[in-house]
Amino acid sequence: MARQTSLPKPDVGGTMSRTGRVVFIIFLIIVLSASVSFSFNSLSRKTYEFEYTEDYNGTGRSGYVFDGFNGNASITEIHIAHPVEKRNGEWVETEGDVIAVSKFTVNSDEYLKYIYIGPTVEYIEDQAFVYCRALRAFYVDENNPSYCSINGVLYNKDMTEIISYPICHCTQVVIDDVRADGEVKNIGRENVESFSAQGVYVKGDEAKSTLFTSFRNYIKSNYSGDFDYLNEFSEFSELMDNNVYAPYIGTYYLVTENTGSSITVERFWTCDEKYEVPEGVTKVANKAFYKCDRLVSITLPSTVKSIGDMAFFKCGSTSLVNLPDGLETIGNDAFSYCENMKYAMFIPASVTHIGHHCFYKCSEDMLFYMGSKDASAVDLGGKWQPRNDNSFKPKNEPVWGSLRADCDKFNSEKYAQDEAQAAKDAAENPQSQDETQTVGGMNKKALTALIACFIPCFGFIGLQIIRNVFKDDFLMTRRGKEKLAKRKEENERIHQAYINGEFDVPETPAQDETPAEEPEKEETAHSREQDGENEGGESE
Amino acid sequence: MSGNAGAKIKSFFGEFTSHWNTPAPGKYVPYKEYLWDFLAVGGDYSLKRVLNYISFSQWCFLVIFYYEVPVLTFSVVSVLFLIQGKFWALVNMIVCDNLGFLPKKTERLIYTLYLTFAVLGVLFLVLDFSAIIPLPASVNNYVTSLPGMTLRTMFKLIAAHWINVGWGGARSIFIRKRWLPKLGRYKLFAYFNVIPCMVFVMLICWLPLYNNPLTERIWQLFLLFQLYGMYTYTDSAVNISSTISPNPHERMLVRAYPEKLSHLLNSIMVDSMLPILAAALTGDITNINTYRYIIPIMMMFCTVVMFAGLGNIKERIPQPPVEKKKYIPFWDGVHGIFKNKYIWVNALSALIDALGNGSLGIKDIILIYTWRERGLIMVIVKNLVAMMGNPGAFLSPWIRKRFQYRTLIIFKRLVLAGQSLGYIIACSLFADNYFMSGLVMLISLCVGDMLNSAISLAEGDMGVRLKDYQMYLSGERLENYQGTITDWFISPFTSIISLIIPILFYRIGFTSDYDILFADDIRSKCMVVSIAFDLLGHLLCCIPYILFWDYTDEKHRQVIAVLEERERRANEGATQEEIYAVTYEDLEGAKAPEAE
Repeated sequence: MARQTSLPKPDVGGTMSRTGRVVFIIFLIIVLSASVSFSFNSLSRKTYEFEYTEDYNGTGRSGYVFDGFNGNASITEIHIAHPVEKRNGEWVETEGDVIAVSKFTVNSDEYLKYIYIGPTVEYIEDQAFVYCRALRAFYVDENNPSYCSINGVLYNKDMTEIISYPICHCTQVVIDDVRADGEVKNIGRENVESFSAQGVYVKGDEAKSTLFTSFRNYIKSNYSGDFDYLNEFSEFSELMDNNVYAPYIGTYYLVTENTGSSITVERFWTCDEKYEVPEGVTKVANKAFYKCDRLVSITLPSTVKSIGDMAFFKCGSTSLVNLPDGLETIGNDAFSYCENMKYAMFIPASVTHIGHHCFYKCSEDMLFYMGSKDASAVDLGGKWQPRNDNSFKPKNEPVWGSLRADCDKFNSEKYAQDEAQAAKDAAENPQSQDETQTVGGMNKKALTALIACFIPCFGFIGLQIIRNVFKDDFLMTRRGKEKLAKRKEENERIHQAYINGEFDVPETPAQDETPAEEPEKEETAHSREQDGENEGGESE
Repeated sequence: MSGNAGAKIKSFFGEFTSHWNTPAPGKYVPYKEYLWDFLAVGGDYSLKRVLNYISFSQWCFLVIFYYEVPVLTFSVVSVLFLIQGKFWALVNMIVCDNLGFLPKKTERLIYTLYLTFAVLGVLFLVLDFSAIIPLPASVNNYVTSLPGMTLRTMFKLIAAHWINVGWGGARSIFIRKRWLPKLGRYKLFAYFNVIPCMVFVMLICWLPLYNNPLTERIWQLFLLFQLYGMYTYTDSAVNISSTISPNPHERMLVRAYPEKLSHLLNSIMVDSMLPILAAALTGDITNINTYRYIIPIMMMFCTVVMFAGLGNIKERIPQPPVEKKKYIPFWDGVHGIFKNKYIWVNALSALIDALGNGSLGIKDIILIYTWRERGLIMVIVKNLVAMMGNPGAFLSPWIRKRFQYRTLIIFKRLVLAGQSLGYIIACSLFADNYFMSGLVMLISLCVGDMLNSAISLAEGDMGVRLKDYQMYLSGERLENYQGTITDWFISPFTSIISLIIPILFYRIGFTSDYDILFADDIRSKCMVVSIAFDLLGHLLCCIPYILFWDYTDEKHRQVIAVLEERERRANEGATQEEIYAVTYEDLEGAKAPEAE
């Protein structure tokens, strides 16, 4: 316990000794440098983290567990088969087999495009690969006993569980998406790669076409490994005619300049918009389609029994998922933030559990047709229905004891209504819907509101600035300017004296000094009013 | 009776109308200025709350949800500028303490320094020095192992920092020197920063930086946020309001009425309107459109309210040239700070408290992630929580009188520890029940806030008392030295301690994707980890106070007695030596014969 001590003697004017100063500086340098070095070392992450285990989770299997990956722009694919380490600037595989991948090992990576899973990887923990924004495909070795990949999507070996769907799953090029008036839609983020060539293009006779040959060689030299996927340029004429060409899965070239004797193309890529989960799959794993915001349509087979937590979280483009009869459980947040889900959804009678926030932040107009007779048959999680944040309950109550046909009927009617409304809008306004509602991608109404607020506000603020800051420059009277100049001179004089160490500078008695230094002294209102005036219009 | 009341009301209004334009005798502020103060402070305070939504930190929804900057990147950036920051703080201390008026030689030197760094910054920004400077591959490998970093990113971050300190520093001297005599020390930056600040807010919210790769996005965002930070214009009205009169009683009146009432503006405009508008128009407070439309409009509106009053209120403290304060050489200042052990007790406690740095904001965890209430209910709950502190705040003078500061601070820490324990219980016992988990957390939060609000005010009071003690020791309050010197010693350790929680978050799976906190198990784990450290920090924080704090009310009374005696001697024309030689024992000794 601290004891009550007397007040120490003051040490006014005391200074630090020379030794003290040196110790101070040295200590500070050491402490700061040590701190920076220690902090950086703690923050730096190994690119690959492997840990050897003798008995993985009591399975008796020994080998390496892949439990950390911190990628960067230079790593676009990883091979999970053997531990890797960097030798002479190159990543090389070392002795030993990777048998498992831990939870959250590959998490929130922006650059990875392909993940190869080797034959020895027997255990992939739940949510091992989460939110890899550029991931296009998983490739699982065909000898792997526990997992497989179909068309780039990760499943367990017997195809009963879909484990992870790559966010940028690419199996086809949607040429229609990129044709509309040369405008590119639904393209992925990738550095645009350009190719320019001079030559002649002979339509229909590619053999004589030097432009064609240059382009072909360019593709071959750059993508030799992936050349199998190329469809031999049979559509090169389409490239010339329609300004688009797709020689590689998920990739297409756009002609940005075509002079007749030379072309310039730029490379983009696109992702799938539809996915059909194959028959036989019974479980959609947790976060299987997490943030796959390019998927417009997902079809689940009739065999699916359970949908995991956050399985379709933030699939922002998906408008409708048909839940099959036989489905039993839907996890927490399974469809939350699927903001495009605005139609009715049929939840079959077989569903016994709906997790909390299951449809949170879907459209508040969404209607639920429940196969069960009443709420007692289903374990409903809290706030499972969407609702507006400003309201206390959902807009629509679920319709209990309904049939799938009711839901389908409602959807087809609503869809027809929407179509009719869209057609009507289009007829009334010949400009395209996008053009009328958006300006360069911005909402026109909101933008107008923003501008309408900004103009008067900027005007007011501008006036205030002119009034308060520049008044003496061009808005002040001659008398006011003289007084202000006097005051500035006085300030400068006192300040110079202060800098020179003359602390007790006598002040020149001036009319324009405020009475602030003597608060106790009673002043007449009149004198202060005069002072206020004398301040050169500072505040008024 | 009724006649008496009527007369009172009449005299009240009479007083009000007669001193509407001119202050009452002995006072300095006319009642009209109370109205302007209400607007200026209300607008300023609300503006600050609006701009709190935009910051380069893990508390900013725009940065985390939209730009998806990894948690550890913020730590990398802060460590990167740790040493530089100390140097710039020192230069800034020289400029700010002298209000921009420096001796010619010093001014030239500082201008040269600032402008050189600004030019270097521009050069580093324009050219890719990572390709120009032949650094060894090991350096490159090391840098790329830091989250979100490449050599190029690092050079660009440094460039952004140099542009900020260089250009901002030079600009600050120029503006202070040119405009401070006219506009006062607090008002000038509001006028000069408002438009660039708005421009940068718009750029932050509207530029399509999201499309760029992470390593590019980070430095681009950092640059924008640095420039935005340079042009911040909040706190002008608040600072003027606290120096609106030299009369302490009048200052208290201003603080109690127009200032307190102006907080209503904030409650209505920001705390209530913003979430409701976001919920109604853009769908969510985390939605980019909230930042593109609602935040700028609110910002503009608050600025207009602030500017409506700002031009008509004025600071009434003697300006520095008139102040003629005692010049304290640098090493004397450092010596003075070292002599004040209470500053170091506080600093040590703050250092231990850093154990909880990096933990998640509890209100966000309850409302955004656990209960997912972002509109009307969020407004109601937030206001309810805010109101919990009011009874304690009203009782604070009574509590402060009856208990010593040390007792209060230990009590506060124990309450905070209890609060943390409540959070841990909520997350561990109700991991599967999001409603109960949120409810227990909310109750812990409310009870803790209710018990601690009075003590928080007492802490502010102790800050003033410590400066009195510093004045007793060194003859000056050394306000800037206090912050800077303690920071030099404490921040290297705090920056290391602050890494613990974010690194643990990484292991749990919480990196740059904040949506993962919607998953109950991950959120609970993150909460338990961070709150456990917080709890430990609160408990350990008590130790320095138990062992070393002995600055009692009696001691403060003695300090004040000595300061008053010094003032008396100064007024009598005593020499500097005579003034500062006085001790409390001398005063007691002088009193004793008088009593005899």
